[in-house]
This record gives sequence, structure tokens and C-alpha cells, in this order.
Amino acid sequence: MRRPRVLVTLLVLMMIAAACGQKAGVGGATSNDAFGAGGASNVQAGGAANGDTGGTGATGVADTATTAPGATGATGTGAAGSATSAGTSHAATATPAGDRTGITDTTITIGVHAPISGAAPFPQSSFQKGSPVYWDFLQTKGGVFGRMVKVIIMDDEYNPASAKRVCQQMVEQNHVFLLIGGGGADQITACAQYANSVGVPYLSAGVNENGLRNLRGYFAFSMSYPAQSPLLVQWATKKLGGGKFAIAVEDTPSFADAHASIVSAAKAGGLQIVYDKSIPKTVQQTDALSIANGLRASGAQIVYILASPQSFVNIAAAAAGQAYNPHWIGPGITSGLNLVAQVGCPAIGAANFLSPFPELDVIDKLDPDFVPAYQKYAGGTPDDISLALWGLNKGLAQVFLAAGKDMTRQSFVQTLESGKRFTTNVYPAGQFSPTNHFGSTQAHMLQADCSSRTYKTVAQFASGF
Amino acid sequence: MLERLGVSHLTGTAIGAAVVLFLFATGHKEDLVIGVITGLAYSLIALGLVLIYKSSGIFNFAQAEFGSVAVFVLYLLRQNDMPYVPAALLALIAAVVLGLVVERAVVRPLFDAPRVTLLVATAGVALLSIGVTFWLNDAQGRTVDPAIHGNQALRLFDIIISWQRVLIVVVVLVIGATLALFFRRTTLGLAVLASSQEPTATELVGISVKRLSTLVWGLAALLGGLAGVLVGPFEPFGPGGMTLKLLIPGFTAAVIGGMGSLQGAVLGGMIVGVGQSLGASGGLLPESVPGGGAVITFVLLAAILAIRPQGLLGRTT
Repeated sequence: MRRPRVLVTLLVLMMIAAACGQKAGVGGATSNDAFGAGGASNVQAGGAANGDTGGTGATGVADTATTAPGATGATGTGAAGSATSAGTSHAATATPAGDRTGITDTTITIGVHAPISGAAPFPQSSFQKGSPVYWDFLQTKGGVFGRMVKVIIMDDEYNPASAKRVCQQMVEQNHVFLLIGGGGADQITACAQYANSVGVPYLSAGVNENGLRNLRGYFAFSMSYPAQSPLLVQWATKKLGGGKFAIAVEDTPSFADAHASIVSAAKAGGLQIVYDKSIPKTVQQTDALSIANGLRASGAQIVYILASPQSFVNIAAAAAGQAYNPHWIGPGITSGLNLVAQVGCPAIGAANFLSPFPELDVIDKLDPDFVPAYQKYAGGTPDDISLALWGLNKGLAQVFLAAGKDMTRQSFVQTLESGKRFTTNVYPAGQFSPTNHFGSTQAHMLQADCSSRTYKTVAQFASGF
Repeated sequence: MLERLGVSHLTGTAIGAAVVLFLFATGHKEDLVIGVITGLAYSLIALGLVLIYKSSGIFNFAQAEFGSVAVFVLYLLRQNDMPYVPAALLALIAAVVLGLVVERAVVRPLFDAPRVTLLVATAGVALLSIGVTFWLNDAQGRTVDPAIHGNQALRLFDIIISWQRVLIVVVVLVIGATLALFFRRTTLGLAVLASSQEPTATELVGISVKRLSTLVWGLAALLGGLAGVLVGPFEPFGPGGMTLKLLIPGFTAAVIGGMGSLQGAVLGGMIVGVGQSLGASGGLLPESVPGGGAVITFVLLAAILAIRPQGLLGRTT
């Protein structure tokens, strides 16, 4: 009796193991090896996506490839294991062996997840109207080697589980080439880790570094929150006069590094930390009143806040309701959006937030193409969410062009790691290496202007104050 | 159990006073103040829930949506530069109209259906309302002005309370007292109570139960609208904002206080508010416990229902 049971158990285990190994895009491809060299096989096809068949030689990205759609700067990783020397500009003529999921002769499909709901009620229309504008604009110049980029946007509801679910959906059902995180550290971390496990490149603005630093397929195209801390402390001391300093950080492990860095930077900068507490991920009215009361009682003149825009606005409103109006500062992607000023003023005062993209007040000087392109392809007046998408897509297009006509997921990653500098004049320049996927050292400083209920750009491409 | 032990409302009041003293003694007086002033906002929703439950035995999941509609209408009118008072009145009228439409189109056709059917129907109304406001409003957050400007009305135990909060306190207390008088002292109020307990007998003495239902839904919608107009200015709102913020605390307040008790709704709101405040400040649980306010609130709810299933001021039927 015992032997059949053992056999059955073994059979079940084998079936489970086989199922795990063969499920396309799920679990079979794990770790960073999926992004190895061109020889990595297609994750979607369900093969071994570990890159073992390919070499790890340097990619042959040509600098000229970023400037025009027709440039020939394809990577030299076309054949399996063919490590070519850096700088060669010949395109791979053989059928590339890497993972080309999401790429056809006419389109490249990419997926974006963003907290359209949850973090703050962002207008969905901004994402829908703004996301194709740059690609429509680029199409008139030849597109990406004649291909149009199709963008799929999904709402992650500011929830890591939802983020992973929609990312999985975009990978497995929509067959996107890569994924982009629109904001929200926990969601970006959850989705980036999933994407890495299935060999899908993942890009986002800089958020946390913990949990993301060792992912081969993850790239932060702006400064991470920990990296922004010294800049914020410099701003607090040199521009705001220093003084009593409060730290309120959302209660998530993702922000542990940002919290440690701001504490360290504040102490080094001579700021007197009078309040240092975590705040709930979703701040209700009672939470907001309690936090605001604690901040007021601490006497803090400057409050560093790292939380969702909704939480920030609620706390600022509760503080103003207690006749307490500190100077709010913080890192971030979304707290500097005009939408936050619209709903947060007058409570947020002259809040300062670093941002990976500037505000609309300076965009005509930085990138004169944006507004006319938006008016032509989307119609109406652009908002800063559209600007953020424009800059992101502009940078992405440069990488696509640099990766060449026969781009694969592997060559895309290798192109980013090549050390080439990608400049959009919207986002700070990004320059990555195999050991550094946090490739930006600059940020824009925004300041709320409650007379117009918008943010203004008070410093551009700043690396210090 | 407390009932069996003969614990009266007076004893309940004594327990409440002891809790207040305990909070003062342990240095949580600020939590008490914050809890009470936020909890009274929940009481507005709880009052509407109790009103409908008292008259027809329905749990109205659409109660907070009356507030969402009111605050959205207020926003639209203020955007068009209408003065505050007429705009607020029209917002309240919009909420009442919605309440009457719901009663006529959803509740009355299902009048004889099982209560659970009506419960699901009101949930459907809430979802429909959220969908419509989302369609009209996108997901974008909006803000409206408070009825009374000025941040510093009074200072209580080192907590600064704004005029808008003071207004809520006054409105809740006045409405609570008025409704209590209405149900105890007026013929119409007694008729409403009669219709909930003996609808057939009520009809037999010549009182139209359906008309009473219309009246009650209109009143409940007015209370929901007031919640929206008064609470809406505290933070940005979007589609379904009031349902997300107020419905669950309002329900909890109504159940803690006793689903049939208007005074219980006010008391329950304050209890929920204080529980949330203690959780938020780290007063009872370590700050590392996420959602401490919700934890304390639901522990309180479970504890109160375990020892007094009908709620603090509810009566066994």
C-alpha cells in the first residue's frame, strides 16, 4: 500500500513541477538572467528564459542611433551568444534570437500602470489623451523604425496586489514588450518584481531603492526618493531658513530607505527633528486631524511628507483647519501635480516638491514641441500628467531607437546599461550601467502657487541648492 | 447580557463617563476631542440610516450617496458663482429629490419584497450613483468651500476646532433632538413608528404607509445631503467619496448605538470617532500597527455587540 502512495505523491509533484515550468510568463523565467544576452529565449513562448544560451558580451549600441528613426544603431546582440564589441553600429541582420514579445512589423506595445484611482482622483482622460501624443508626433518623423507605439494603460488602484494583477494581465494577455510604472512605490515595487521574474523590462520614475536595486530589468529614469533627501534638506536649510523639522512618511517598508536617508540628511544638515512618525497609507479625516495635531504640537516649521497626494492634501487641510500652516516639502512624482494644487490650496501654501518633470510654466522653453503636438494630436490644453507622459515616452523612444530595428527585451536592457546618456530636456538625463539602474542625478523643484492653484518650476535640472 | 443584569441607560452613561475620565487620566484628551468632532460627522449618516431602519427595517446602502450628490451639486453651483446659501439649499434639495426618486422608483415597487432584496437594491442605487457621478465628473478630485470660513473657532484641550466643525456639532445635536421629539411627541412621528411595527394595522386606521415611507426617505436624504454639504469641504471629494469615507463608519455608529435609536446614532458616531482617533494617534495600539483606528473601532463593535446585541441604546423587540 505504501509504494503506490509514494508513486502517486511523486507523480503529483512532477506534474506540479512540470506545470510550473511550462506556464508561459509565470514562474518559469525568474531572476535577472532573463535579460542576459541576445540568446535569451522568449519568455512568452514558455521556454527557458534564463539567458544561458547567450553570451554576456557588451552590446554594440551606436551613439548615433538616438537621434533619428533611421539610424542604424542596432545592438549587436542579434545572434545567440554573439558578444560584439562596444560601439559597433552594424545592425544584426539575422533574425534576432532574443525576446521580441510585443513587437510586430508595425507596432510596439507597451503597458503602463498608474494609480488613476486610490492615491488621488486623477482624471482618467489625462492618461488616455496624453499617452499617445508623443508617439503620434514621432510617427510623423518615421516612428520607431516605422513602427507605431501602442500604449495600454491600466489602473492599479494604488494597491500593490492590483498592480501585480494588471501587470500580469498586460504581460500575459496584452503581450506588452515592457512595463512602465506611473507612480506609487509599493505598486511599482510589486510590479517591477513580477516583471523581472518573467523577463519583462520595467521602467518607472525613481521611488524606493529597496526591493528594486537588484532587479536586472528595472530602471529608474529619475532620482530615487533616498537620493532626493540631501537636495530637500539643502532646500530646507538654504531656501527656507531651516529650523524645526518634521518627518511624516507613509507606513510602508518601501519607504524605509527614504526615511533613513531623510533622517540622516536632516541631521547632517543641522535641522532639528521635532517629529518623526509614520502615517497610514490611507489617511482618513480622523488620522489627518491626529497627525496635524501632532505636527502642530511639535512646533515644526518645515514638514517633510512622503505620502500619497490624497493623504498629503488631507493632512494639510486638517493642519490648516487647526490654524497650523507649516512649509510642506517632499520628494515625489505626483504630489507636485497641478491637480494637487487645485484641490489642496490654500491649505498646502507654498509647498515644495521635487519632480522628475518640470511644470507647464517652463515647458515652452524646455521643449517647444510639446504644446503644439498636444494641441494637434489630443486637442485642448495640456496638463502636467500629459507632460509627464510626453517626457517619459520621449526618453523611451530614444532607447528604442538606440536598441535598433531588431530590438529584443534583452537588447533593450543592454542598451540602457550601455552607459549612453538619454536626454529629453523634460526629464533629467538618464545614464545607466550594468551596476547602476538609478541613472539620474537631477530633479526639478516645484512650488505651489495658490493664487493660480498651480505649481511653478522654481529650479530646473537641479542637483543641489 | 447587560440587559439581563439590569444595566440601564443611566449605567451606560456612567460607563461612558468613566471612559472619558480614563482618557483624560491617561493623557488622551486630545484624542477624545478629535474623536468626538469627527465622530459627529458619522452621526449624520448614522441618523439617516436609523431613520430608514426605524420606519421600514431597511439597511440603506445608498445613504452616503445622498451626501455625494449634494456636495457635487454644491460644487457645480459654486463653480457658477452662486452664493453659498442658495447653492447649499439647492444641493440639499437635490439630495431630497434623489431620496424621493429612490423611494418611488426602487423602494416602493419592492415594498412587500424581503428586506434583503431592498438591501441589495439600495446597494445598487449607490453603485449607480457612483457610476453616474464618475461619468459626469471623471475621477478628478474637487473641493468646495466650507459654510463658515475661519480656522480658529475655539480651542479645547489644546485642539483648535474650526467653525465648520462647530457647525457640524450644532447641526447634529439640533437634528438629533428634533428627530427625537418628532418621534416621541408628534402624531406624524408616532405614525411612522406605527407603520414600521404594524404596517397593516396602520393602514387600517387610515394612515398611508407609502406616504409615510416617502416622508422618511425624504428626511433621510436630507440628512445625507447635510452630511455631504457639511463634511465635503474638509477634503477633496470624488465620485462615491462620501460612501467611501462615511458609510462604513456611519453603519458602525448606527449599530453600536442601536439601529432603532436616534440618540444611539449620535453616541455611536462619537464612539467610532474616538476609537479611530485613539488608533490613529497610537494611543492604544503601537503606531506600527497599520489601520489602528479601524482595529479599535471593530474591536469596540464586536465587544459591544457581544454584550448588548441590540446596541448601546437599542431596545430588544
